[in-house]
Amino acid sequence: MIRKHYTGMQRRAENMIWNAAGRYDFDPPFMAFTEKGKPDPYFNLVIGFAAKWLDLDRICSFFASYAGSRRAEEFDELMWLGIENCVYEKEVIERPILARLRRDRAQQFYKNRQTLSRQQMMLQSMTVYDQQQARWSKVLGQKGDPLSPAKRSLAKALEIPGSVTTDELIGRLTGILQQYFRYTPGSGGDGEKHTPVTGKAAQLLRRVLRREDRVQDTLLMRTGTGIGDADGAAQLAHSFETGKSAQQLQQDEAYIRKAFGSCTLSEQQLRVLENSLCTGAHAECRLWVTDSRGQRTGEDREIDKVLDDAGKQAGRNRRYLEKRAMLIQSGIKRLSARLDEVLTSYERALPEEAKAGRLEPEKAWRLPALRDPEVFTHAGEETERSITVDLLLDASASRLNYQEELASQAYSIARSLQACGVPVQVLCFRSLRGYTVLQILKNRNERDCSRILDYFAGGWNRDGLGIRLAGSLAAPKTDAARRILFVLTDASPNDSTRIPSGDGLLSKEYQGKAAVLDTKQAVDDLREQGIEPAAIFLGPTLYLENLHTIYQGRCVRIHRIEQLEEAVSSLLDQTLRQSR
Amino acid sequence: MQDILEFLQKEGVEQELLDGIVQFRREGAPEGELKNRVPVPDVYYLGTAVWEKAIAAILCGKNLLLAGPKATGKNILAESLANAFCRPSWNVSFHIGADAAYLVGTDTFDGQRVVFRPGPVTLCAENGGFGILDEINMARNEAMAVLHSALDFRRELDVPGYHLVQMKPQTRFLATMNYGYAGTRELNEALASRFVVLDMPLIGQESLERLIRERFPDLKDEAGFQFVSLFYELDKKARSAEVSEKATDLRGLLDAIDLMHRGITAGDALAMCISGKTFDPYEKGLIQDVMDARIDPALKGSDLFT
Repeated sequence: MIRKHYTGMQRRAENMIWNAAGRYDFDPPFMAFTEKGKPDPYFNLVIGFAAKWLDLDRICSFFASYAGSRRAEEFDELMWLGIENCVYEKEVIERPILARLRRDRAQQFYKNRQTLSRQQMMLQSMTVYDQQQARWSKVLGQKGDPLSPAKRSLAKALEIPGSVTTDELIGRLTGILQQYFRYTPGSGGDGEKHTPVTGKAAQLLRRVLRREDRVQDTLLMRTGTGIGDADGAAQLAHSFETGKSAQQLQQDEAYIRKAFGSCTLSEQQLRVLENSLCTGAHAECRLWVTDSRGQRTGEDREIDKVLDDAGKQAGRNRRYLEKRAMLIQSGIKRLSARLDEVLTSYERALPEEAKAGRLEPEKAWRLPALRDPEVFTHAGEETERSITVDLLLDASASRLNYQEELASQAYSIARSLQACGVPVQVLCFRSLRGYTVLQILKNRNERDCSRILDYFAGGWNRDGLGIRLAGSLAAPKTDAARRILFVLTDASPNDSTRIPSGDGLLSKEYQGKAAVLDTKQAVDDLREQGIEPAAIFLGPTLYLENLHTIYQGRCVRIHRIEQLEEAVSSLLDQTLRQSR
Repeated sequence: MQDILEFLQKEGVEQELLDGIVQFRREGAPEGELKNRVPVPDVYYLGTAVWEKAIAAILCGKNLLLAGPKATGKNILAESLANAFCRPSWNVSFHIGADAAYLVGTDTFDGQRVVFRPGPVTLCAENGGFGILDEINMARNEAMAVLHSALDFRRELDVPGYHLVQMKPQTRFLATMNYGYAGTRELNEALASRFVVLDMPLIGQESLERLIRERFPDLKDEAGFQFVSLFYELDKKARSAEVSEKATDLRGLLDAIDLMHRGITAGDALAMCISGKTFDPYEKGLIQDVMDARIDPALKGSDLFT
């Protein structure tokens, strides 16, 4: 019934818990689902009430204290029965409907019991089953199945009153484990040897366990050189790069070609672009623009590993999307409607002939001469929409922790903008081995958005060059009145290729203030060219100042990747309202 | 309906401000058809602090920008103010087609000659009315530029081909601006600087309880408390961006209670007035979960009202 690890209808269950808790700022450590995989409304409320009335962190530490036991799941079920009674009594006073919901839950228990197969029954813990039926029969005022005196005594002990505090509750639950199961939490009392995990370590363990489950199998992409920063996003450590030999340069190009596919620009186009963009701080950088994927050759294990990882990530992105197909479809519908509203309020109505409105001087003669009253114009129903949007995703290692979410959000945004008739291009950039690689995940004239799901993270982010490079792929001025570039960023540009100094002696690392100022310059340059960059910030507060320095107010901050869609519509609104 | 000055006195609004309103009214009462343009709201705005700030701003000759999310009573306050100061009002909704001509007026042919047909802003300026500019942040900058001289110290409206309209001293503009929880829609600087901004708070629990009690005096206290709690739970969900702002629908909640009063079950009434307004099945599910955890859908009027 209550599972620590779950995917699927999770969001709905989380919402039930948050609503009951009266706050939305925590990740529920438990969620409740029925055998059919649907959220269990009553028990999710119970979990929420536990967060409302009790110290959830301490309760979690208690649960963690026996996490290593082989009977942990059985204990979970029993402990929650105890907590259920306690928080029910606390909450029912101000939420009378809870009594009815509890009765419904009890009836549901008996209904489910009739439909359980013999095998399912055998899989259930009889201890848990006995206690559940004792609880629910009492709720319904019925005489339940006969129980032994010990079981009756346990049922009584699990009826923890609403008057207890968190400490008293934990004390009682610990007492139950000791008295009825001869298990002392943290002591390995059931004969197993394990070290109790408590306090911060327990919290960390829970986070790790939970995360593994939520985005399972992504660990392969997350290992390697990633070291966690304060906000949990991985960052790469800097290493010095010295002048490269011709052979090394060739090796680097071969690596990039094999890993990311061939360059969409011709040799000559690429050189022209490098000559114009790879100057100053980027003099030692190279560029690569691609819309394909690398091919596994079997010759180079390192590249094959990268391609395998990228392929696996693409698979995970697709599975993530498929699992949430319904939710994402409705999200697209909602976002399209919102974007359409924003675009509609911006677009100008084309003038229409009318009998009242603005007098058209060149037609005014028709009024006295022909008695034709239609010499006025007013705002008509036809409108003009002339916007292109490019979405530039940071594909550096700092995004490792939410690649699936990011890919699916970018997919939804692209589909929604497309539904509003806005040509949209999706790009991602990363830097490695001195190359800033721009991947075109969706062309402006491409209807299919599925290539966006090839997104994967890894490498550095040389924002100044990435933004300039994306600017070079913006739609021509003649194609659109407004050319908008949304950048998903953590405002922390960081690359292993150093900034050369004028005399070549004192090069600087591409990070910190120098990198921020370079990125700001890139943004300013694009604005001068008539492109409108704006940022969606997802990163630690530490970099907020960078964000404002670089984008000068044209930015929104999001705290969770799920807010990306909302941010895009609000940023689009904000951008369109700014006069050019 | 209680006289608004009595109401304000009961609400504890400073006597000095009330005297100011009386003085303002003495400077000229609307006559003829203009009398019908003085709005009479169903309920008055509740919130003494906001009332005092708004009255003071109007007495000082300022234009007011009422900014806040849904269900903060922006329009109720605007109408209540026009009523308190006894001024005719013109309501201008900023839709897609709202351009300068829509606000100021258009040319038309009267059969003999081209004449000017004044728009709501011109009429408001000429008659010393209260112009309620609804959702002003949805307006395009160029449409609003014509109002700049009317909104600042010049207090005049230059209508090309017509004449320079000098605004009557009683004229005020009350703009409303809705901003979402996820981000703000900025009002352009030139326009924002011409208003004093009143940040509208979400209706407080006590005021909401009172509003419901006054509207439905026979509603049982316990039921009233559950409806109030439901409203704040939905609001919290919208503020956490789990559902859209449609869920924070105070009018919807009052309508639902009204339907229950007429015999519709609580579940049906809430579905018709709140969850039914969301057309997305997933979001509807989330809203329904909140309602199910608060109100028994089978409750009837007899269970809720004395």
